[in-house]
Amino acid sequence: MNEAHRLVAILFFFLSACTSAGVASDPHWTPVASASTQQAQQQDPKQGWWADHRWRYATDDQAEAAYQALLTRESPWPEWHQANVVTLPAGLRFEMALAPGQGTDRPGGFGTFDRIPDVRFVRYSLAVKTAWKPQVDRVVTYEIVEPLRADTGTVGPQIDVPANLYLPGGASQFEMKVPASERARHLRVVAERPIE
Amino acid sequence: MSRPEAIRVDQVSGRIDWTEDGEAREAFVEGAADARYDPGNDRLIVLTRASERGTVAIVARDGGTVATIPPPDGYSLSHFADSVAPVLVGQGEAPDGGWWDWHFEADEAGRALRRLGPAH
Repeated sequence: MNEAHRLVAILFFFLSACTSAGVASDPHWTPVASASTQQAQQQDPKQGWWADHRWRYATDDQAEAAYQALLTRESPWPEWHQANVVTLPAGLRFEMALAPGQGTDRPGGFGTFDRIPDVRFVRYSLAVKTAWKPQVDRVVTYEIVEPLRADTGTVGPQIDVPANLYLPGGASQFEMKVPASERARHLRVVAERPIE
Repeated sequence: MSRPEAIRVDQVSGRIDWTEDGEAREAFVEGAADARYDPGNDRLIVLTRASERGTVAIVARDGGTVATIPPPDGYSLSHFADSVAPVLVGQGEAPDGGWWDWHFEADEAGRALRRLGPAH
């Protein structure tokens, strides 16, 4: 290998390492939004949904019906979700975004196995509409201390109509299948941190 | 038009204080946990822990409690949805339409809580 080839090889290795490290260490990097989604977020929210989901349907009419169903039913699960109710074991940790004034002893019904870096992640990757949770000020890491029945899967997309936003979802989520009054006894707080 | 501002709640004593046109006002509600001003009905909505499932007290601007509303059947009142609106989160014992938790607001008469949309 001559000097020029060796320099090119070193430069290539250096750039590859920088790229990988940059993505892995960027807390704002969100793996769930496609390029088409990110472009569509700047446009009409329906265009964003269409770009990501039109392919799932045989016809435009079927896709339109699915879109309208999303607007009216607001299911937290993607349309393709098949209920997968499991018993989450003791020792498993997860995160949940909480509202100002919401005690850690009053957790919501949904958690995620992904790390929640900021409020943007709550809105776009967890697809939490503003109307559902107008404000988020912190993230709590809980640990399951008593086995917990939950439906598990992926966050479905949402259209936040008042905000005129397409929220692609795509992060992990589970829905506790126990009454609200029993949630806290299945959990213990491991950590709590503010987010913006 | 004046309106209550800088509302604070002392959860130990149940004292709620606020200012109106720079003047201090106060009320006492047993178990008061948090409070919001309801501009549509010119009153304070107070979330209390007087019962395990939470209760709502409606307080007039003179400080008197004019009504108390129990939680809706099947729900426990958790917290206000945000720092401004008098909207409460009720956490449910069973799902409805796929949603366990819902938002509620006090009706104009102060007799019941009206369900709004899902809460996450």
